[in-house]
Amino acid sequence: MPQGPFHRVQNPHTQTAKIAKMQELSGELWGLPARGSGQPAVKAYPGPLTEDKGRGIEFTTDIEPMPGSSPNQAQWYWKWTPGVELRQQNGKDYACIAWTSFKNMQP
Amino acid sequence: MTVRVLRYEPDIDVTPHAIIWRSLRYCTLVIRDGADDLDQYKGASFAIGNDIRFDLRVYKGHIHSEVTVTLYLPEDVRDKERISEIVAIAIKEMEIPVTAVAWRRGQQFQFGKIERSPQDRLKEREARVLILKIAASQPERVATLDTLRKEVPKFFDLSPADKARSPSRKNESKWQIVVRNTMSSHTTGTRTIFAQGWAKKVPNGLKVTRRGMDYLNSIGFSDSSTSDLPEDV
Repeated sequence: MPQGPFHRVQNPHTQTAKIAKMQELSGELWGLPARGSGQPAVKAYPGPLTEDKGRGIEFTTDIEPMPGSSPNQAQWYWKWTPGVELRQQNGKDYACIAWTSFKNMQP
Repeated sequence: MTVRVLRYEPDIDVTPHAIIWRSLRYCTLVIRDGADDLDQYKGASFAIGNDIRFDLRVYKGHIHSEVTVTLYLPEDVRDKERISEIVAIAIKEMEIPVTAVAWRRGQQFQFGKIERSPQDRLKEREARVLILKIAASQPERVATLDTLRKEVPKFFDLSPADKARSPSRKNESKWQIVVRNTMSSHTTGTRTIFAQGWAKKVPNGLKVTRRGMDYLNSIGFSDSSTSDLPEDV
């Protein structure tokens, strides 16, 4: 069942224009573990990306966020959230979810 | 119990467990910038005793980010009862009224929707601590009634009930009466900030004492050294 929309806001580290393009082309969103954590997760804000938030991406997914989410934050942890896959790149583990619709507003 | 401000971020992932309808500035002056995989944020870290650690954060993209703060616990705290217990302790020890809790773990929610309790408005008990916080943020820790009236709306999201006109003083809102009463000399109960020794009266206002600063440190609002302050000021 489609979940969302969710959005991520442009930032200089984890949501750059380059990353947005990769997300758009790959059909996936990846997320690293937080500092000190071994558990990678994709994290996003709920709702559409409104103009006041600036640049970013908006997406829907068939994967339901984990129960540890809150009204203002959605998260998909690898291992704990059914449907989340593990990706590895340059020795790092990433949680990965597939999007079902995607708007790139980080040109 | 004392809420201690921690200088460093937790070295473990954190999970959101409550949303409080108060600004970060209302809760603490010790605010730092941070960033994680979600986004950039402003936040603060706290400890109560040896067992409880929690963070207050506001991410740039949070809804109602100007007037709410989200309480995070270390990701390894997963027992529902323990989560509920820690959230309750943190809120109580920071002197945040229960009515300010807009959501807490265990309550159902819709993504992107947070509602403030209709009962949440400025009452005298909270106003006592609020004016102490505001005065402590001013030069020399002194605030006049005029200063308090200017600053209260910057610290506290006034509800429609707060802004309603006072039935007794037609030219003032209810929250202004609450602040006035909290400051007024006829309020002589044992729980006033003056009776507690947290503040003393100065012309047209109040000054936070060393004991008052110790109190604000004990609820996580500040972590300033008070050792150089004289005992009586």
